[in-house]
Amino acid sequence: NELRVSRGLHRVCHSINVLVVGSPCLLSRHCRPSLLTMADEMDRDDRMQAVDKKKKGRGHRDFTEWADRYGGARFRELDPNAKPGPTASVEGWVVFITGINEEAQEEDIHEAFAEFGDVKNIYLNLDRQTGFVKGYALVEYKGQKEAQTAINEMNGKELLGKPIQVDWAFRKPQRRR
Amino acid sequence: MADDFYLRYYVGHKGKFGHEFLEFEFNKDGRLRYANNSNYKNDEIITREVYVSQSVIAELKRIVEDSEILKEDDNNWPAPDRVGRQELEVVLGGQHISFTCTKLGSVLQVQNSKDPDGLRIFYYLVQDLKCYVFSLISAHFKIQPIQK
Repeated sequence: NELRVSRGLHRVCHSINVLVVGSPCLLSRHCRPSLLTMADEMDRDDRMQAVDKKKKGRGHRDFTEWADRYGGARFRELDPNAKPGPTASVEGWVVFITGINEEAQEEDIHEAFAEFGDVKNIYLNLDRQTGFVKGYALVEYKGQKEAQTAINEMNGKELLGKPIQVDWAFRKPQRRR
Repeated sequence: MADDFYLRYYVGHKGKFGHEFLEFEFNKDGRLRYANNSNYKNDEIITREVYVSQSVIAELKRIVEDSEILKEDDNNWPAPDRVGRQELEVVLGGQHISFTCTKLGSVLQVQNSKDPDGLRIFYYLVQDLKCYVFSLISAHFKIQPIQK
């Protein structure tokens, strides 16, 4: 799972002048950095050509050089071969909750979600300006079934007087054909 | 397309330990990319990629909309310099903003700027976005050292 291509492959791709799939050689025009730049070439062009968008800001005139930042680094996923649908995280399954009352505390979240399984981790972030709860939380269970039950049971239920929405946090993308 | 969405944030500087930066990007399909680079003690870049659900994207849009950053402009914000650079690029609700700014060290720096109200919105939104991304990335990738 190397982050950098080996020097040998780089020399080969130069000498035979062929597009080597996955080769992150950004120095040569024939080597396209497919998924390796932060903004895919295509994404960036789409954004730039979106003439129906109202544009604001210095950043439109002052471009950054993607190659300069990433020079060949790949973006690491946990499991590139997993099937589509919700996906496991490194040690469990993570559920995403929104609509949380701004005065909620971690214990309230724990209490509401502990009945579906052992809660391994909770993230309940605060609004950095007001100090109140921002409104979302992440709750991790060990097993997929526990997490799925929590989603089924708690989505739309009330927590401290406000209805919450509960869904998976992470998923696998649809495989492109 | 009116439902188009994209968000990217970058903060970094160049110095003794190379080009040290943090950058993350969400696209409308839910692909989250995260990168953190430093050559401190010869370290290398850390990159992560995960697809988040549409609920996560919807909440991100809500956070951005509620901040009202789209009403602001970076005309009067301190420009990127040797101290550092920040970039925030958002496509949302038919608008495409791409703001740049130097690093902001404190609320005092915001207060003393030429656009304290706009800059304050940026200052706190950036913190909220970082919290959001760090929690998502940690929850998905980080192994907890101590068993609860």
